[in-house]
Amino acid sequence: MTAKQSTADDRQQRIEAYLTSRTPSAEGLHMVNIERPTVGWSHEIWLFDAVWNESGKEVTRPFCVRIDPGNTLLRHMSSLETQFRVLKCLENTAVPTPEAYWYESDTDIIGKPFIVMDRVPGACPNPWGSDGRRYYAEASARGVLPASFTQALADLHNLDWRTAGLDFLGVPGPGKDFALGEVAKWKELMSLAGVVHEPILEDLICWLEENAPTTERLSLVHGAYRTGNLLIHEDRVSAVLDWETQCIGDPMYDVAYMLSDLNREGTDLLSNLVPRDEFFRQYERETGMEIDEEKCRYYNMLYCMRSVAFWVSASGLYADGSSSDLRLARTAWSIPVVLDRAARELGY
Amino acid sequence: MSREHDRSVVTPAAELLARMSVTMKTGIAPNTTGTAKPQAYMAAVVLEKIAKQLELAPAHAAQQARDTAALVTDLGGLTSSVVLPAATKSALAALAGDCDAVSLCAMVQALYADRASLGDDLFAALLGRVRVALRADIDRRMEYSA
Repeated sequence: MTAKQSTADDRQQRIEAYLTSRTPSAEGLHMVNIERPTVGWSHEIWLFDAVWNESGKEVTRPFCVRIDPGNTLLRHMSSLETQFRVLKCLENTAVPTPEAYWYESDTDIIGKPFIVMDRVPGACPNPWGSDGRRYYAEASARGVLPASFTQALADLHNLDWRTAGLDFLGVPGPGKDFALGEVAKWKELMSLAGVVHEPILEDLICWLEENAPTTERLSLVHGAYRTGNLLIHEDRVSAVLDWETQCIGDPMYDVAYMLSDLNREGTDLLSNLVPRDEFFRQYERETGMEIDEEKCRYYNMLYCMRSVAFWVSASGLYADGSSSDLRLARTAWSIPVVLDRAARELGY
Repeated sequence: MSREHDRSVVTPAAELLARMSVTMKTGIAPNTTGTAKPQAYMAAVVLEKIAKQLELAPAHAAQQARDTAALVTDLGGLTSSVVLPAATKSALAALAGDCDAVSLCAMVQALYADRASLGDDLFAALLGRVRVALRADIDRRMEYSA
């Protein structure tokens, strides 16, 4: 048995013990159908069914456990506790999310902080692989999923976030506060990784600070709304996932991400899925907002900066020995690619 | 002695890394399983990029030196008859002393900070010239990054 297998077995036993402690009437609780998806950059994810006996009957319940290994890409920006609170706030709203059951910060329980939540039915085809691209192209042709995808974003932006209790995320002030706050946030992430001397990045940041737009309407913003960050079941969005970059801010920030060609490959379909005209029509009808393409261009520039911040942080994790994931090492060469794009957007 | 014996016994680092990348991609990664498999393929990609970067480094450094010398000359020409604001003047002096990424960042920052004093035309001319150098630099980096 390898050390890694031993660790996994230990973790499984600890999860089983934890779930047993949470369901005192359960006898013989054990995990089956365990999946350990390797997608994503942040958390260790366990998907499984818990099976136990209760009052003489066998009970089966699907679970998802997200574990924070402590060396994640956005460790300074996002915590599992925040994600848990966001998911709790979104329960019983129109935004499809998994029900979150418990958050534990006590590392004695399974070794790291974790969330236990419902395992929502659905799949998350990878939009960057050929199989995933084919899946989304076929779904686009059927027309049901694109409408569901746009509707979920509209529901997110129409949400009464104050009533839902999401103001704990921080509420930007009027005017340029949101845009400038985002620039400051991603500057901070880079500074945590170390000193970055990239003149094109400097140019980009100065441009962003000089051209920050005002925000007229505040919404809950997901921050990374695209295929690959959603679960799909029976041709509809069954859950919006990856609540790591959410904030209260300008809904055009999400729309810009939708419109970005960063999030599609070899197709004009937004996020590999949605025809642009249909997205505009449905989103504007459902939200009552007109899509501001000039603002979206600004936010796309901001996404360039954010991408650099991600890759600086990610490659730094490998460089300083915090992670042995070679995908993170690879991101060192993603920095020039994004800077090239930023320079083109700035006109050179 | 035949020509093939002239070859150094020490394989250049870039060539060695490139060969290791191929070995990793074709010989090792296909024979690994589980989570190690994508990591092995990723190792091949990383080795390939380092190899290319190392291979191009001497030519890139030489071109970079020529470009930065031209940049300093051109910026000097654009500002020779102008009384520059303090930050831009200081950044330009630093750039002339050591034209590296640090001094280029400082130059960009100074230009934006002094924009009002410089006026739109001079600001655009100076930043435009800096951007020519930055474009050339990122084009070189893209040769091994893309």
